[in-house]
Amino acid sequence: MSVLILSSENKELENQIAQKIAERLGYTTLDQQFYNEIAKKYTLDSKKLMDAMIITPSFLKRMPSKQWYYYLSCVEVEVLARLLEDNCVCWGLAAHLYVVVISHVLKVRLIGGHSLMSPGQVNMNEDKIKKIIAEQERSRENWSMTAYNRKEADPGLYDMVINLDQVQPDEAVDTLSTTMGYPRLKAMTYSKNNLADRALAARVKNVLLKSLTDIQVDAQNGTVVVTTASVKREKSKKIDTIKKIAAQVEGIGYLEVHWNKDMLTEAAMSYR
Amino acid sequence: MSIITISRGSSSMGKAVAEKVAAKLECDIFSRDLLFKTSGRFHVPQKTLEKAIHDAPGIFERYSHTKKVYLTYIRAILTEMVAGGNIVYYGLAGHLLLDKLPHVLKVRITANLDGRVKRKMTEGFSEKKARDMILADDDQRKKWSRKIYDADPNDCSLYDLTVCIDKLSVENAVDCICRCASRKAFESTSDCVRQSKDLSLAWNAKVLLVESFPDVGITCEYGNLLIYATEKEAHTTKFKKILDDIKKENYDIYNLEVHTGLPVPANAV
Amino acid sequence: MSNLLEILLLDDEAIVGKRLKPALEKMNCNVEVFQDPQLAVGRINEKEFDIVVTDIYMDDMDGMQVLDIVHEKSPRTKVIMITGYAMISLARDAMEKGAFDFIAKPFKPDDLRVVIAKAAKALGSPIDLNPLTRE
Repeated sequence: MSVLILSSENKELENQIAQKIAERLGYTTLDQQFYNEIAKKYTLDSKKLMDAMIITPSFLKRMPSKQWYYYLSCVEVEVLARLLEDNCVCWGLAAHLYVVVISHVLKVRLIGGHSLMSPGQVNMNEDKIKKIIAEQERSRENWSMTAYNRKEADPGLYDMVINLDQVQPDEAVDTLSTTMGYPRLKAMTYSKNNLADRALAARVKNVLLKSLTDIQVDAQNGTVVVTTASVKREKSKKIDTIKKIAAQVEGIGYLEVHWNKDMLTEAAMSYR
Repeated sequence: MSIITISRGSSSMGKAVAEKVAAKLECDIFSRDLLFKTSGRFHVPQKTLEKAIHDAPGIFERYSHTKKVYLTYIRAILTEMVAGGNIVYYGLAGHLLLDKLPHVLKVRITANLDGRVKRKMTEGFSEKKARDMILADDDQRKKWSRKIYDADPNDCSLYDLTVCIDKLSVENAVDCICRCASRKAFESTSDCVRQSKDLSLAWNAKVLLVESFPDVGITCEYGNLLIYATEKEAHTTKFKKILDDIKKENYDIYNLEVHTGLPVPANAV
Repeated sequence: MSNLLEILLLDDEAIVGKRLKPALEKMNCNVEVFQDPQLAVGRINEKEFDIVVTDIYMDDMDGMQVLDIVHEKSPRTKVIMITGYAMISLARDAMEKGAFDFIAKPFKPDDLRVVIAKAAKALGSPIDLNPLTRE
């Protein structure tokens, strides 16, 4: 079992390359069509779900912060569950931001290639195209920093970056298909358990975010650590609520809750 | 026939990758020889050239023009060395120094800081010292890149391929690079060889002009050298004398023209 | 002719062998346990094992060296690495060297049994995880 995660601003080429690699290697695919399935499972508005993966929380856009984080966590849970199953090529679901440090997952960023455009875009002049691309990159950076505190274009996030201005899409397909065969990328019990830990953490976070805010979850070998913050007088209530809700999640061996004082809210309330 | 530049931060296994790529592709390989040859040809100490190619110009640096001259010398020698093709260059700033040759495969090797620190420590440094040295080196390279080329060395768009050595091993990275080098875009066709030679001619001409006329732009196509200068510059005796020297020293120049009052093209050196 | 899967288990902690040997023998495996890597290597040179399970960090010799020795002697043998100091870089290096799997301690004996069953399948000799319950 190996997983390839692609990330690119050039959606057309990303899609093309991902499909070809999946076909060549006999892998399943996981892309934005998955949003509909997720929306159905969690009874979410599918358009709002897709918007949540593009825009940051905004009162004007009717996407409150709490709802936004919950939507993101629904996507995270379902994507991680799928990645546990089989050899897969995944793109368009921001997986490169929350699937971190798993040795059988190869994360690749595809940049450039905007000159290889579809006929509809050919009439735009170069300056306009550059402006649109720069705007898209700014917007994505803003989103990824807000959602995961990571810059999407940061090369440190990826195992490989391929520049499609020089390397042709078919050549990228060849390169990546060969790379996926390297022994280092083969799944092992250790890496599968790491991914399972992330999936467990995502599930716990998801049930908690339905009704709570300010939740971080880590998991290792069935031990789950939930970190949260609140004002001091709500500490016991919040911890109890977390323990009660999290207990419903299957697979938890041991649950720990770490509480931090929410200094800002505490300070604001002390002035009243 | 390939020209490959391998850029990397210190202690990122870039040298190991470069050596194995060169061995696999049966290419020549060089790094420091560039500075050695440049020093020999232009009688500038190697240390001075190294500073020019590594250290960012200081705030009070009086001789930023000098840095430009040294960089011109380095680029002239570099383009000469790669003109024949079949070369792996893993020295400083290859991706920037050879940016005008489209068939050069520009590779960047990245590694996480902890791994780099561990490797640096094998040279006998403490963890803190190793970390400080690596971060200082990264900082210098970043500043140099920004100041001279207005580019961030971590910007992936400067490279054709960026490989993280933590995930993929040196062997895997070498395999990837060699496969990429065999792609059509990086083939050394006769047209590419011609472009390399033209670029080398342009830089050699620039070497003679840069000290007195640092802002002239030079292009070369099929041995036709075009020099873009201001009207004032072009009418000086010194300028005319240097043009004569250029014609005398470069037998491969088919024709030499001076254009005044025209904007310098983007691809000019 | 024996249909038993021949397994060598090497770990410098005695408790590991004590816990795992009975669990593996339940799967119709013949298990030889060693704490001393030198003795284990000596045995590997005498006999071809189907599967070798080895700890990585040991005093005299590390598991990576054992992996190299096993593969030199018998490329078909599946080597499973176990360690209490699991790191991603170590895991990747082990896989690149040809390890069949890499398991971080602590793990339950059943976890190892599942991996052994996979290794047996890869060798073309699939085994039943729970043969006794079927009798």
